[in-house]
Amino acid sequence: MRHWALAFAAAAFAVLAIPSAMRRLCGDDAMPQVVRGEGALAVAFGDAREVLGRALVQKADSYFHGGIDMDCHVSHEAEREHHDEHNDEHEHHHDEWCGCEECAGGHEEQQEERAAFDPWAWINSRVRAPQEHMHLDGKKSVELIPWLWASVAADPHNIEAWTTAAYVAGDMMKDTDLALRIVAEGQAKNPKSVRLRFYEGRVRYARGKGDLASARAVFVSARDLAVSLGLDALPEEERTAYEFAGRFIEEIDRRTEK
Amino acid sequence: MQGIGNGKCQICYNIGAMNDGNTLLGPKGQRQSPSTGDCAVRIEGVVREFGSVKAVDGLSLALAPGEIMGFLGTNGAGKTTTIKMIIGLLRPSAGKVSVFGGDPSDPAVRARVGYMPEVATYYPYLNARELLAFYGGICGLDAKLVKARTDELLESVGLSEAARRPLKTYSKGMLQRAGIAQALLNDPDLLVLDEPFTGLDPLARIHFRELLRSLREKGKAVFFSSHELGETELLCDRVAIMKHGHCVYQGAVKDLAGDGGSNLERLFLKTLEEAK
Amino acid sequence: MKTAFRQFKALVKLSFLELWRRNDIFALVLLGLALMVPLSMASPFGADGASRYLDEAALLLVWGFSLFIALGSGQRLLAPEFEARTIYPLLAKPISRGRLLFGKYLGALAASWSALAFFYVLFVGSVLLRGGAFAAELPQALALHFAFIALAVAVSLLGSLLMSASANCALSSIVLVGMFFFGRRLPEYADGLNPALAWLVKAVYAIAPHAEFFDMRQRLVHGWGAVGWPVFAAVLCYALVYIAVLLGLASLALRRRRL
Repeated sequence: MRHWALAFAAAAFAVLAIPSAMRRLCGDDAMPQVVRGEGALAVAFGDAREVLGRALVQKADSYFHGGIDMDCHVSHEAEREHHDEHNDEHEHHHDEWCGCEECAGGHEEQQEERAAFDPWAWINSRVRAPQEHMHLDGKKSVELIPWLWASVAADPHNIEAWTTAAYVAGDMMKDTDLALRIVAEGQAKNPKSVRLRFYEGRVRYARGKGDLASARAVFVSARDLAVSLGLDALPEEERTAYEFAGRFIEEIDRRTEK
Repeated sequence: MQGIGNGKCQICYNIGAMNDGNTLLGPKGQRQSPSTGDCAVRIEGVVREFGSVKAVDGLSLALAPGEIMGFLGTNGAGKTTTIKMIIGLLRPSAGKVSVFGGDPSDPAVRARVGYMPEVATYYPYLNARELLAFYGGICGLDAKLVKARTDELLESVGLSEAARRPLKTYSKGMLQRAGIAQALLNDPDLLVLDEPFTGLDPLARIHFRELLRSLREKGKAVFFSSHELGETELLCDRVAIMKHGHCVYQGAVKDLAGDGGSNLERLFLKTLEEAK
Repeated sequence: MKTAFRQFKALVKLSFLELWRRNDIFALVLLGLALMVPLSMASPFGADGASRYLDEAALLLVWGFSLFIALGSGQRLLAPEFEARTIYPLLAKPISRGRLLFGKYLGALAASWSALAFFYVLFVGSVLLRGGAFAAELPQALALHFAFIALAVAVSLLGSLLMSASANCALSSIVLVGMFFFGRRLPEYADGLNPALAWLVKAVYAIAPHAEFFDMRQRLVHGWGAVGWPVFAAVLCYALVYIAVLLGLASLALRRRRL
């Protein structure tokens, strides 16, 4: 009986005390949580949607590299050079510590520390990584689409996911219609995104001569949107898109003058 | 009357057995093979402790082939502990338990023993046939033999019609009968039963009594614990009464003074009272 | 020998019948279909042709369901025998505790492997129906997955003799799933901790069952080809040794268990 009474007292204390303690620690504006966005996913996951969305983009990146976990990849000497060469393109984490035995990345002192043979890492590096480094390209790039679709379903405001999906569709799969559908859907969910507007122009530009006029119009609307939102208030990626849109406009004008 | 001494089974001697190492006669004068010449069960000065608690303290008794012995006592008297030592699940802290002259934990000895626990919820997803087939396999019996024995046993315990139903649909009495059947599957020379009458309806009890008597006629030994004094008095050749780990009485049922009924009950109460 | 064979056969048949009559497998298959059918009917951005995500999702379900079956089978080997008191008539029969333990283990293994084979038949069939194909990595992946299931059953069996059913299921799941997803990252985590905790994490890394060794899902999905045979043999040896140790500990636990 005494145990039950103690347990009840502890539970009552927790119910009463913890919320007020949280309020003190987190500040009044953090409590209660306000759900941003609509729908069941927003209610169920809240801010975790952003994390989920980013994780799904990483999964798509992993698929691009043939299924390798990009935080920890194995490479031979030749592959190591390949990644060092293309580091900027793929944003590989070469400077971070990697648990694989043969990973090219890692600080020197960590590599020295790993001089002792780790049989488990030896097995993992051979079971969980391919012998050759692969990239998906061409029509096979369609394998990335479901993960990017899931990412934007989890977090519709993840502009990177939208632009990556459009890139995969337009540049890798060479399906500009699909790319335009993706961008259009992204803009519907993010009407104030300069990047997405810019990307639409980019896709149209890539189509070639017939679409240059419509591409220019889109670039102009992107710059107008940026100005209406206030250039100083824009995040860096949005400002970059604004500037690039300007360059594309100049390029299109130059080409059409010819 | 307690009966162990000089390396011979006093009880077996007392009931007219000649233990010359070649032949042995059972209580009705029937010849038995040398392998059954040993006492079915011999317990000599056995003590069993669980920490500081002595569940059994200095118990000695013997059971001859062709004999039925009732093992009585209050709750917590040490009956189940004694039974577990007989079937080899527990080792005595002191003293010796032997079954047919061998160690009860020896699989070869256990092949001659059939055991039915007090309460057992047998595998709910099996039916009675499959249960017996399972135990038959565990006993290492041939499949054909198991099938023949299964048919025979299910008939004798009255489960033939329910044989294909899952055990989870069985009543307590039906499970008890299934338990009896599995205990008899390997045609044991020693049958050890813990509260065998629990859950049995009157008709089933009558059939079970007849079954045990028939086993005795075949020279089998039966050792059972029970709270059913009436059944015990009707069936047993000898009884032993336990209290707080001690055996406070051992004797032949026929030695009880007859007055038409409940002799064993009076003896039971009187013995426990005197043992306080 | 004949007796041992008959005893093992009886124990294997018992586990087999129990698993397939409990209908757990069919419930899992229905759950799997409920998850996979909508997933396969989805048309992400209207683009058709993607199939690897389906293979990966299906394999994840196969792994999850087979682990569920394995842990449940291991848990139900001996603990329910004690609860239902059927351990007494069982041990009263001419069978030693060691043989009973091993026979029970074989039974759970047979049951779990049969369920796993069933799941893989469904998986391979679904891949082939979609026009996919498998190469040398499939037999290896199957073998390693079967080995993992054998390990999971042994883990659950040992746990069932040491703790309650719910604690065993929870702890076994945490250990195996945790190692499956995070096992190879433990040294990395340890580097960032204080020495005492780092030592503990490294001890876990050294001793805990490395479920991730058996994971060839990415090889199957992305067609990486077979694992080198020395590595394959090393993983199987690891599984065998680990299982032997677990069964040895389980045997000790059973011997010391008060009946």
